[in-house]
Amino acid sequence: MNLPWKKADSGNAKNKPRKPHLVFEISLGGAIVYVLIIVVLFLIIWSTQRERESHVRVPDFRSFEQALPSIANLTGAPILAGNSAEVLQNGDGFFPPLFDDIAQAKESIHFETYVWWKGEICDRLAHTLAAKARDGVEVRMTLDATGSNKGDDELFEEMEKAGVKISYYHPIRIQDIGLINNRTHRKVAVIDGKVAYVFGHGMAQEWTGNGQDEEHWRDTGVRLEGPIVNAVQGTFAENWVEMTAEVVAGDKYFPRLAAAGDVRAHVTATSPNGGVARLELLYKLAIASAQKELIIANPYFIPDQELVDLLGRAVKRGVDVKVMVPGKVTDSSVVRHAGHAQFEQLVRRGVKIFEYQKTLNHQKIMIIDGIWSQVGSANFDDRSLDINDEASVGLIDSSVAAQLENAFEKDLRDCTQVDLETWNQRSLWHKLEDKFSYAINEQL
Amino acid sequence: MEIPIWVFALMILSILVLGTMLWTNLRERRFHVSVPELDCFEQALPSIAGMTKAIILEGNKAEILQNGDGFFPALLESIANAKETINFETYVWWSGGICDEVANAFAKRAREGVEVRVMVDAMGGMKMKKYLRDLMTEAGVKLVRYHPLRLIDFGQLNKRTHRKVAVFDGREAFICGHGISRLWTGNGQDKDHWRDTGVKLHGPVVNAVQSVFAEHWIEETGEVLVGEKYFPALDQVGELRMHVLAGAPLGGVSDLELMFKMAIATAQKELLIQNPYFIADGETVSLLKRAVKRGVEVKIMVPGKITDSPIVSHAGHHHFSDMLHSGVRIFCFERTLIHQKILVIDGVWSHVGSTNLDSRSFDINEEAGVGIIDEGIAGELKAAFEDDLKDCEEMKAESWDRGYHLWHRAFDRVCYMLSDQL
Repeated sequence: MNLPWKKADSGNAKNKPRKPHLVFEISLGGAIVYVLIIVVLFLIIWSTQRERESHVRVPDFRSFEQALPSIANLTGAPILAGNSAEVLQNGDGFFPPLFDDIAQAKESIHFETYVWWKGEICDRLAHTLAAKARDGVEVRMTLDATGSNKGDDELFEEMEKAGVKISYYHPIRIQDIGLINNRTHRKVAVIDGKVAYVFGHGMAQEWTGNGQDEEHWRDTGVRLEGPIVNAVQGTFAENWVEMTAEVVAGDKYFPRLAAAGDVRAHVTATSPNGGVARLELLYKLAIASAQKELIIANPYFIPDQELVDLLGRAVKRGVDVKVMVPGKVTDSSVVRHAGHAQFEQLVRRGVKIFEYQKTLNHQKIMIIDGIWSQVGSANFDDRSLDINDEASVGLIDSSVAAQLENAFEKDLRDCTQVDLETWNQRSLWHKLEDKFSYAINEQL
Repeated sequence: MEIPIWVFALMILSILVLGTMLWTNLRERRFHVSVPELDCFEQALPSIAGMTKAIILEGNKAEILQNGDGFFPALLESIANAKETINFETYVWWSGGICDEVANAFAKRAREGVEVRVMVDAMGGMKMKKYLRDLMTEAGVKLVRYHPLRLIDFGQLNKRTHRKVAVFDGREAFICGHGISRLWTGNGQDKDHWRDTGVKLHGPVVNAVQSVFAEHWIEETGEVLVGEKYFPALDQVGELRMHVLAGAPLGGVSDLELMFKMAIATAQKELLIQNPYFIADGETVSLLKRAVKRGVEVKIMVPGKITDSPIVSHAGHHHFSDMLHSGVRIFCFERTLIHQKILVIDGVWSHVGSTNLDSRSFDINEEAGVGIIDEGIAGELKAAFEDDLKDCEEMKAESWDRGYHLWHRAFDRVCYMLSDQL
């Protein structure tokens, strides 16, 4: 195509009148006004979208128990006593009990997740949920619109036809452009308001099996009973009412729950609200409260400087800090590289970093002093801590912590530890990649 | 200057695109929440607590503070008695009189070594003069303004803290509707002395109020309040069950809006509302009508001629005719501005706080309120309501319609349409 100004030029040569529709007259004043409008619009948009940097100053605690009331209240997650918690490892540990509970559901099944791709497990879950809906059980499912866009439309149709209510969280549409970046990364299920699951698993073949190879990932979830289930239901209900306006209220969703064990538990659910994200606060306070041992397993580990300092401070006061991250097997090498940018500093300060080599280690686990564990959906990066909706459950119980710790120890056998010497010998290219990835990490 | 038309088109397009982006950013998403009919209040309680993420805490005590005469002496006394920490957050703070008195009390305690944190909304505190700020900061009070009016925070401009809370030593809390201004002094006797209500709380619920304060404090200062002087382990001190609701615009449905609507849906016998800014949306109106239909006596008290915001009153009028005809009783308080935000359901459950019944309070501002499950407290608030009724004029459907002229109707409609931002 000819560029219009060329036409205008050639028309100019012989004093011919210009084709009027090709050229537009604009005064200097007009140009200035235009530039002003653009600048102002940019400024406003930037100021509404900008993440207000929050530098949280976390004091050191003397003991975890002493810090607990503060932590629970600061993160909006009051501690509820009298729960039971069962740790579920990998797909083989997670899916069978989930399917069992779904099969036994009498009144309502609520399910929220980010990833719903394709594969046998999706088919099976869809068929099961559809069957339950046909039997008259209320089935509600929140799927992130982005995380589920690779899913099989026929399956969704089958479920909807059977009466499953599906809500796609934050669909990609022009009038919701401001919400596009806010995804639900929560993974929760609540059955009859009495049993709850909080987990890291997505609905895809990768999450089946037992973490045995690159096609079968490593992940962890928990099955909960007791008063804490009300809180998990509240977390599900939040995004449900946002998208569907349906208030789920009544005994079949929020029954009065008797004690089911002696685990104390609290649910931290985050949504970006302009302030300091609760999960960020929780992670930082948890690290600051460790006195003996701090174990972190996370697939996307990009600590900001504050987290690096907190981890360093922990080592200094004598805490054994162990962090497990993915090795070569990762679904996001940019994230992995972004994390690397901080490794040297962390290792130098005495944090032990292990790279898991067998498969993708997708679990999001934190264990503090062998008593307090976190299991959930939140990664250790800005996207999880500031942008996404996440859900994580804290369990205060030494036997739950011991179970998770045993699994961690077992995973260590498939890890290589990052040591400074070999680390610093990584290629210049690798280092550049790390720097670049870290620079853009807020949005990864 | 001559430019090719395609450049011009691009210029227009770029403005349109940016304009759309801005609109989608600032646009309030509308939520038409559908609330099911709930059984009696006790049965609905776990649902209300779960949906609004406000756990019911047992073993508390509450004391109702009516008007300035009930509130300020109690506040000043608590300030004087605090040992380690004072945390205070409010929206309105002017200068002179009571404003100076409160500031002096904070300054005195700060000089005596008490940690004093004061957070004032940057907009509501605009009339606070510099000498007051200096007085406090020089004494060591940590004075912080919420969402200062700065260019880089333009996006936050509309989001104000309307919360009114105070926590002393992490062991005693106030939740109220009062601002710090001469208008809130006195006993609600005339138009320069407003009517308002607050509560003083003891027991485990104080932890929850502290966490409401801490939320904004961390946001503005980065200081994390940890330790027993802020969050002590609190023993049960009474019989009252309570839950604290803190509304914050999260992009979803506001917890306070959910709570109010669910509460209306649970009422079986009686529903009392006192609110200075009552702009019911369609859903609320239909909930109120449903309540009347199932036999609930619904009484709503709103400001009469004395109001600080006539536009809000007019926006509220929009649904009056509809509500009056369906049996909702509406009373206009004529003695002074009623500023309290009170809800009493079935003589059991009451809510006291900062939340107006309009979309600014539900969807935009940061609010705080406490739900109290206790017949004694509900009885006290009901008695006060009935006392206020003596200074009210009841609106009648027929006379309202007769006097409701076309221009008034049109004006109300315009106000109602603007009401999102009022």
